[in-house]
Formats: sequence, structure tokens, C-alpha cells
Amino acid sequence: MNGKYVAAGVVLFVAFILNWATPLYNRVSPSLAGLPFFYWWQTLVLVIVTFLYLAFSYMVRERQEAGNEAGASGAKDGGSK
Amino acid sequence: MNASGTALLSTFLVFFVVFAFLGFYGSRWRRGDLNKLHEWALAGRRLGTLLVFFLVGADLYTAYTFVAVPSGVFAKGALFFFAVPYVGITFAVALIFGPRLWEVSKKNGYITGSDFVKARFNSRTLGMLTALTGIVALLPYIALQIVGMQAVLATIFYVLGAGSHAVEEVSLIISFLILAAFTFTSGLRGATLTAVFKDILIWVTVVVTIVATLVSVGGFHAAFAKAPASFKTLPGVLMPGYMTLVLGSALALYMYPHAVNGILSAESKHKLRVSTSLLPLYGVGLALLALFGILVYAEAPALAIVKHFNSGIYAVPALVVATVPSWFAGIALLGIFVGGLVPAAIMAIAQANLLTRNIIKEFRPDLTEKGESDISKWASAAFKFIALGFVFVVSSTYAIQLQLLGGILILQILPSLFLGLYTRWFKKEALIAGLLLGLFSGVYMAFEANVVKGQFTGFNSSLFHTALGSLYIGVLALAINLAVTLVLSAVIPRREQIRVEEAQPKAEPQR
Repeated sequence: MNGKYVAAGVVLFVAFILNWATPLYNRVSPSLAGLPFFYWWQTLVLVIVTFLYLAFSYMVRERQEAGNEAGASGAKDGGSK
Repeated sequence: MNASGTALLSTFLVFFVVFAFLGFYGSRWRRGDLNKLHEWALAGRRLGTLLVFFLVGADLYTAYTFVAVPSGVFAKGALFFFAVPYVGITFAVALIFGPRLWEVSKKNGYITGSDFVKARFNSRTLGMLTALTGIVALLPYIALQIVGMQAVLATIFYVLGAGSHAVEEVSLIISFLILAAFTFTSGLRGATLTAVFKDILIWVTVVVTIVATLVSVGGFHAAFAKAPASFKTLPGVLMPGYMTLVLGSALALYMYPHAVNGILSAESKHKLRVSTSLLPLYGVGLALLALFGILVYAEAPALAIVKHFNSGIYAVPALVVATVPSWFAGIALLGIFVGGLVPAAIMAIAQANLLTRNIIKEFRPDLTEKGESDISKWASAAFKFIALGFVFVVSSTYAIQLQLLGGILILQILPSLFLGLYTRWFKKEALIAGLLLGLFSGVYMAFEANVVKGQFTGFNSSLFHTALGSLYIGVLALAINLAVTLVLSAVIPRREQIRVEEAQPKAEPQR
């Protein structure tokens, strides 16, 4: 149970570092189709973190929560309590 | 009027009519009792993954994205590309705090962040100060949306051959009245439907225009060759500024009242997480739009429009009219126009919520649900007009500073709102002192940073010179705020606190 949350935390931390390590990606080459590395790398990172965030979401999803949603989507009244 | 101008104007108007229809139709969609505030403002907490994705996406990707960031990149290069990693990080922040806030709010019937702060720290003063900070912080952010709308209209008049300022202002006010009218009748539901419409237009616009522009200018290589040489990377001296702008903006975004609305309108915690996770994809559009600020250097007709108005905010609208057929330009410009309009509506709704629930109700606790809803609707219209005033006092190329100014203010509620979700250790007196000192020091530094030779020169920079380099004022003020809050919380003796959220009956009937 705890290990799951630690792993999920690591996933978020990796996403943070990919975005915030500016000194590491602040360079021109290798450029992509004339676009300096600085620009295309940060754009690519957005796609990578989308997958990391989805992974996080499914990692921390609680079993009880999943059950409630199945019931709620059937009832269609949003009352998942 | 020339032929291409007629085509452009026709498609713009036709799509505007469709937009207006969706706004009004919103009030009939999934009908609830709109006389109740949470129905009007949170769409009855029934929005699923996709709609929350659109709603939150719509109010987070605004004229900031279409106009302010490209303008900053046009003027200063890589520095304003900070918006991209900011978007990358802000959703991690949202994944940590959003679901927790959703859960606590659902359990206790909160519909604003201030509801939570007031109850958690058992302090009406802190609740009201939090609400007031939210309302004021949104004013410049709404002003930014208006600058975006103005850029679109001015571009249209330029194409029609009539770019006078009087015509610009009249059109702006008409659009504003339409917006006020549909916000008034349909609340968040109307805004959600128009948000979906807006997003589809925006995505089509971004993809078509970037392809057309790249073909026209001969690729990024050609564009970077014509832009100033320093734009290829971030100058080392701006590194601390870049990193603190990323950090401050990422922490700030989800504390804005309209973003809290977006969180609370989700149907479940899991759906909230999934739609939040998908939002960085929107950032790819933001990154492409930011690059328009560089591409415009290589497209002579577009550069001519930017030079004509002498402002970078025309970069994207100018590239649109210069590179795509005029009938499509009309659609694209409408997308950019409502890209300011819809978020402005959503922000004004959020402000109104705060005003009625967290300020007026403190003095008039006997207010009926109908009365609460009425004041909200009128206030949301009023705030939009107050913000309208900001447009006339900013230098438009640095319109992004309006959002950064809002950020400096909203960051100061972080200890109460975000940290309050996880700890009760802070004392309310400490939080109030920290908030006030954070706000005052932030405003002071913002003023000081823009004084040149003893003269305030307009709000064109939000970086403050320190021993560590030039840093984003929002982060500096937050550091002061946190230091005060921590020290005072440690020295003020603990008293037995009655926890309002448990002692009081639920504020609102649960569905």
C-alpha cells in the first residue's frame, strides 16, 4: 500500500525534473527541423509527462473508488457516496 | 470593403452566431435549478472526464496562450517560452492538491477555496481575505483576455482597411455585452458548451496556421535566421528568472478561483485525475503558438501588421490573416476571440461566487439561495467591466505581465489553501500575517522592479533583482509569506479549536 504511493510520488518527481532542469536542456543542438533543442525538447516533454500523469492517476486509484464510480455512472446522478 | 475582407468578416460573424446560440442553449442543457448557486456555478457537480477536460482546458488556455505568450516570445525570445514547462509542472501540482480539495469540498458542501480555508482554520477573517485575494488576482487576468479580444478585432479592421481605435473599442463593448448576457442566463453550463466549441476551433486554427506558416516562410530554420540571434536559447543571465517563473506560475494556476471551480465540478476523484493528466497535451498547442512569436519574423505581411500596431500581441492574428485563405481566417480569428471571451466569463463567475458566498454572506447570513444566485449573476457582469478598465492602462506587448501580476497575488493563499489541505498545524493569526505581508511585499517589489530613474514605467517586468539573480516576484513574496507563517505558527501558543467543518451542519444539501 505504502510502496504504491512512494512509486507514484517518484513518477511525479521525474515529471517535475524533466520540466525544471532548464540548464540541462538550454542548448541549440541537436536541432529538429531547424528548431533548437531548447524549444522542441520542452514540447516533447509535455507529451512524456502526459503518460507519466496518467500512470500516476491509475497507480493511486483506490479499489473502493473504482467500485463507486461503476455504480455512479449507472445511476447518472453523480452521487458517488 | 475588399473581397477577402468580406469573406473573413462573414465567416467570423456566422461562427459568432453559432457561439452565441451555444451560450444561450447552455441554460437548457442538462437542466438543473439555476436559481441555486451550485447549479449555476458548478453545473451541479456532474461533469464527466471529457467535459472537465474541456472546461479546465478552456479556462487555463486563454488569451494568455494565443496572444500574451507569443507576444512575449516575439519581444524577448526564449524567456517567455517558460510557459511551456510551467504547463508541464502545473498539472503535477493539480494532481497532488486537486483530488484532496475535491474530496473535502464534496464532504462538506464547499464550493469555493475560501469555504475550505474559513472552516479549516476557523477564521472568517482568513476566509474573507482569501476570497478578496482571489477576486483581485483575477482582475488583471480578465484584463489579459480583453487585450486578446482587442487584438483580434483590430486585425479584422486592419484587413478591412479601417483600423481606427474608436471602431475597435465599440466592437469590444458589444462583444462584452453579449458575453455578460449569456453568462448571466446560463452560468457554467453555457460556458462549458462554448468551451467545447472554442477548443475545436482553436485546435483546427493552430494546426492549419502552423502548417501554412511553415510552408510560407520555409521552415523554422528560416524563421530563426530572421529573428534576433539571441532567441535560439535562453541567455544565462535569465536562467534564475526562467526557473522561478516556471515554479511560481505552476504553483499559482490551480489556486485561481476559476480553476478551483473546474476541480469541484468533476464527477469523481478518478475522473478529475484522468482529465488533469491529459491537460499537458493542450500545452503542445501552447508551445506551437509560442513559436508563432518567432515565425512572424519571416512572414513579411504579418510582420507589417505587428509593426503597424507596434505590438507583439498581433503576432498570431497577423500570421493567421497572412497565411490562410480569408474565409478560414474568419473562423480562426473567431476561435482566438472566444478564446478570450469564454475564460473571461468563467473567471467572472468564479469571482462572483467568492463575493456572495465568502464576503456578502458573512454580513448578510440570512441571504436566500435565490438572493445569493442573483447577486452572483450581477456581480459577474460587474467584474467584467471593472477588468475592462485595465486594458487601457497596460502596454500590450507585455500583456503577459497581467497574468504574472495576478500570479504574485494568488500565490499568497498557498499556505492556507494548499498546505491547509494537509496540515492543521498553522495558526490562523500566522496565516493572516503571512498573507498580508506576502501581498504587500509582492506589490511593493512589482512596483520597485518597474521604476526607472525614479519613475514608474508601466508594469513591464515581474522579475526582481536579488543576489541570486533576477527572480519572479511571486516566488519571493511567497517565501516571505511562508517564513512569517512558519515562525508565527511556532511561537503562538496552541488553543483548543472548534472545527467548524465538523461542528456545523452541512452548508448545503447533498445530492
